[in-house]
Amino acid sequence: MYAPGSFGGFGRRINMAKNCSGALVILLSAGVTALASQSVSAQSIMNGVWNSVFTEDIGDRGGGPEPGDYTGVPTTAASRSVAQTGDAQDVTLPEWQCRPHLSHYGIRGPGPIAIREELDPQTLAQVALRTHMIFPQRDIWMDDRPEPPEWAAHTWSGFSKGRWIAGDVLRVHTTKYKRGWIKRNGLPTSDEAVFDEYFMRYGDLMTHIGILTDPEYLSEPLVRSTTFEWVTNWPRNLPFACRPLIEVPRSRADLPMLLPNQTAVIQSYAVKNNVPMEAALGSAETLLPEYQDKMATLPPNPPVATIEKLEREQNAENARRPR
Amino acid sequence: MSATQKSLAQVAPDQSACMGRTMDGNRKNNVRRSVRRPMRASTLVGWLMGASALLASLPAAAQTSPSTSVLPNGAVNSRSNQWEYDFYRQSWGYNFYFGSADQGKYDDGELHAWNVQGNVWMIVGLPERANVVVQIGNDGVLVVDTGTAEMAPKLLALIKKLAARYAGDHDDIRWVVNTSGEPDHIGGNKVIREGGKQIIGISLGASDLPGATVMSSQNTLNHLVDSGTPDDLLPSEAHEESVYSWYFNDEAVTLHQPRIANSDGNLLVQFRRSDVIAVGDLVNASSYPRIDVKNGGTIDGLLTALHDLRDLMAAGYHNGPIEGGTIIVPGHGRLMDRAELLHYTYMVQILRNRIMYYKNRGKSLQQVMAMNVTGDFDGRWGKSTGGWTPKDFVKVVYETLPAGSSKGPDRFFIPSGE
Repeated sequence: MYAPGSFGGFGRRINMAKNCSGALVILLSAGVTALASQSVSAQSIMNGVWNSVFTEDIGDRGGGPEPGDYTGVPTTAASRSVAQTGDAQDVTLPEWQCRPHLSHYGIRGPGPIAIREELDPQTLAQVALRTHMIFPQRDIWMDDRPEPPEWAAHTWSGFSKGRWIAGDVLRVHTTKYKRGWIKRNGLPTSDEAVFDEYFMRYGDLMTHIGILTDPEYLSEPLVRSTTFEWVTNWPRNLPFACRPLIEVPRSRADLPMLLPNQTAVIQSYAVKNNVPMEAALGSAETLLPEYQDKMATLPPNPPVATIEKLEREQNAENARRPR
Repeated sequence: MSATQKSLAQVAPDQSACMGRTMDGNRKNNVRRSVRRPMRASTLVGWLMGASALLASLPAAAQTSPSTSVLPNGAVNSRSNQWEYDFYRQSWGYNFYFGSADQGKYDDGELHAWNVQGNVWMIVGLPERANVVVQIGNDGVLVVDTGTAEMAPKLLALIKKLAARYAGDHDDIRWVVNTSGEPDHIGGNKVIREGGKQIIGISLGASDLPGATVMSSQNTLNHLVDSGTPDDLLPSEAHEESVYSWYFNDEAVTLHQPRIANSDGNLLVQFRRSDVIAVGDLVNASSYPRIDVKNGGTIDGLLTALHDLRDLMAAGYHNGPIEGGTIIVPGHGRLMDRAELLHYTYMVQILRNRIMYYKNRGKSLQQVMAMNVTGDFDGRWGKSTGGWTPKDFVKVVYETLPAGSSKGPDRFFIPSGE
């Protein structure tokens, strides 16, 4: 099960090992980027359909995180506040039902990613790599075109420029995103977010390293790795059309959101999973191993029954108000 | 091999050990196996179909000679191969960025012209990222807002340059629309009007008079007169209709007048074939919306107008609603499509609901300001351009929300029938 085309690079026997992506990123940043060189031989190696390998992060990438679960993310006070205002019901708004994934989020989604290349028919130079993840098409421009101006509209996929480095590693730099999210429980990204990616193919496997920076909503870069496996059959459900319908009758312009008194739904994740409330809020500090020592010193959570009672009271109070 | 390359080669095996899965065989073997693997019949058919499609596209491609266009500001349009552009559009549908080449910056001291869609251009580079919109076609030029007085001569020169290149037989400025009476929207009225011609009579060019027609809402004209604005900056034609349409440059142009928004005098200009709406300060892509309380603006009026604007727009469609579609040109800042308008609208609505929540529970303006209710959006919207700070925004929201015995619901919504 091998794709047509040539590929080179780190063609070694790969052993099962997890949680090494941090070291890999450091090495990449220090060494690989210094080796920037265009390589014709690297063309075509990404073509095909790649299925996500779900051996890690199944919770986040499958069912999705619960409200209030911001673990694993270098959050800021601003990003937590936005997330704590978000209501999961907003996906039922007709205008958001067909909202596509941002490319920095979709790459972590459960679906496959299809990659095709566009060649200049006269020179056969690589013009772009087109990718599909669920339904948005993303273009990774390989022809060194200038970035759109500051006044251009932003997009869900952003404006991506790619180049081959170290022979067969695809580096992609993306800007001009729309406002979006890191987790579907509302943890946001701003329209000033920047995504740097490295695609590395090893035979039938491909590793993707994504480095997301956001001056508004991340205190430091969020680095995540994702593994893909090449498949021979093109999934015919890619891409698909989407048409919004009224799923929940509402007054016109009514926006699902949590008001300042709706705190229980956010706290319930920490309480029900016995995670200290401070730790559940994320932040750069919580990502470090040393934080486990601090967790032991944090005050205990209230009982589950207390939070459930508070949640009922808060819901009842909001239900009494007209909407 | 350089030292860096050597270093990388040395670490590569260790890196590969991090990939989280055992792979069968090394690279060399994989390449060999891929070459030797016999091609299936279905794969062969697929390749043949793909090759046929590519060959079918080539004759059309070859017929169109590559062309490089130069934008009025001197930037080269990267759409150097028109056939390629068409090929990609046909093959992949809507491509939002194709043809975008101008690496423009806002603050380089120059005015830039940018084709939004169809007949409509935006001109940027004015103070506070204010935008001027220009529609150009066979009938002449329509200008939406005129920037500041200081920039007006440069603006007029650029509009005339655009018109000379893209207009038809009639390249004069015929219409000017002021979306509001703010100084950065009417400051160039005198210069731009005097640079154009007014249409009198039944046929274009038959009996033109010097000076373009300058339009605004009636309320804006009233406010300008009341505030002692010089006569040569005043609009020459005012409208009270909520909707007013005419045909110009091969498309319907519609003025929409919200009952109340930032003030009681906003105008929106919709170019219906080009699918562009110049929305003035109803949307400010650079800061929180400015609400002119003195001239009738309210937060709930603004939100109603934003939701009405949403309903005028359609999301672009490519394998599901995605990018583009109707594009709006805000009074300040970059272009937006419908999804970005929604982000803006919901940001405003979230802040309105928070402030209303506290006001309903008896919190004073000072107490609400001390709570920093806009803190999670200030990084993007609170950069305080032009002296409009987050606190200014909170103040006008608080003051224009219902209070006392007429407490309203915490959450904004539009009752049925409105």
